[in-house]
Amino acid sequence: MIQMKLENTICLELVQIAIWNKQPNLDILNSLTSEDWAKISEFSNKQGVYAIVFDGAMKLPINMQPPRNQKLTWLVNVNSIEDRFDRYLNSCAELVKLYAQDNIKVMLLKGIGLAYQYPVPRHREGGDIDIWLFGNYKRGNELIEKQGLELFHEGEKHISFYFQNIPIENHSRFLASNLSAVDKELEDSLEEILKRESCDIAALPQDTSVFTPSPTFNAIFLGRHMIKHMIDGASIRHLCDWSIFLEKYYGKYDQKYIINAFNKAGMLELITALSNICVKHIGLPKCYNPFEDMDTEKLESKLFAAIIYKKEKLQSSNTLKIFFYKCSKFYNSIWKKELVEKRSKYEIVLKAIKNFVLNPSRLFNK
Amino acid sequence: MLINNNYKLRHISGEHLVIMKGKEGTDMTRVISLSSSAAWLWEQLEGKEFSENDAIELIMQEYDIDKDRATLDVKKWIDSLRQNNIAE
Repeated sequence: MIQMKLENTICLELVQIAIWNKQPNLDILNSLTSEDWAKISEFSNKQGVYAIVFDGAMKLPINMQPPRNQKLTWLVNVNSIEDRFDRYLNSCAELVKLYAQDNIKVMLLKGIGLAYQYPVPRHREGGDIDIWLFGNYKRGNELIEKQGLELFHEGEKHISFYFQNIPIENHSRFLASNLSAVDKELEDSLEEILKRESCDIAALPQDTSVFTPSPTFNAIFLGRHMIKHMIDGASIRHLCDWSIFLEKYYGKYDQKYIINAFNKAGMLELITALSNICVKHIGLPKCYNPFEDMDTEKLESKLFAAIIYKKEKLQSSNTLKIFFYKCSKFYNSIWKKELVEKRSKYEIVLKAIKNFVLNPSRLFNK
Repeated sequence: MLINNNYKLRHISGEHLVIMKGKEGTDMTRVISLSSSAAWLWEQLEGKEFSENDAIELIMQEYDIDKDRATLDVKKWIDSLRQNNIAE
């Protein structure tokens, strides 16, 4: 069991009130001070659940809610999150229309598609829009360039660009299957599912719609996505995504297939531990957890502590401080990389040294 | 007259609030608190073209008040919307 601070406990309680309509535990919510609320709001912001926690707080009896001034500040910020979601939705619709001119179909991964499953979709915070163009990756990029937009940062699985100031990632593949054996195994499963299951469709503004992955596809894709984020900072938002997905799609995905796929990729223990964390801390009803036949308690504590107690971002631009910060961050992530990538410590260290030799400045730049 | 659909009325713990966003990059966001009757009127007329008389009729029916009182209240309400550029 890890020791949680007051703001951690209250934040998780409010998340459960917001997403499951849980009855508030008045014992722990009684007599919170404005300092407590400031910490709760700050923590929820860091964890990507700022608007969700606000929803939870607004469901409390009025005498237990944050002081009016704090509530209004919170409301104004939540309003910005909602505006941002609306902007994303509209830009997504415009992008779908643009690709349609060239007969390119669009599949929306994660993000907005998942937000629709939340009690208040506009309160799920997202970073960018991830798309897959049904094998038309290159043609899609050419179309974007024809619009005079710059494509940049071709990563291991996608290329990025800004469309109406919204960051878009066009995926050539779903996972980094060229770099990781685990991802390769799971990517093969995803491609197999794409062939045998039809996609879902989600409505967008401007009378448009977009394809979203089938539930079995999403179970593997979202599960792996959350696992990968364990390396560089999974948050309560990721746990909420996973919990909501498991609850909304229970019985709609091929349970046997996904358990087998995670098992073959060596990820079954990890996904089980994270799903159990969702039951214990996000309030996912146990009956919706398909991964339960494994004792992962020790791993759960370690993973949950890594989510709750994230390393603060370095503010300094001092080269030496950046160097030590990055070294310590790397050292602390080795155990996570071992689990997530199924690589030995030696492989991980050797790879880091190789990267350093190839690009030494990376260790000194912010 | 039309209420600008960029502004949304919210009900937060018994209060009726409208968020007025400042221009991009400025820190001028304001929150306006409305009375119950002003909020009720907002909800009836949101998304519709309306005249002062439409609002007066609505208020008289809902709150069972005479025309003079309703006219006074509606004028105040409309002035406040106009001052804040919420309606035009």
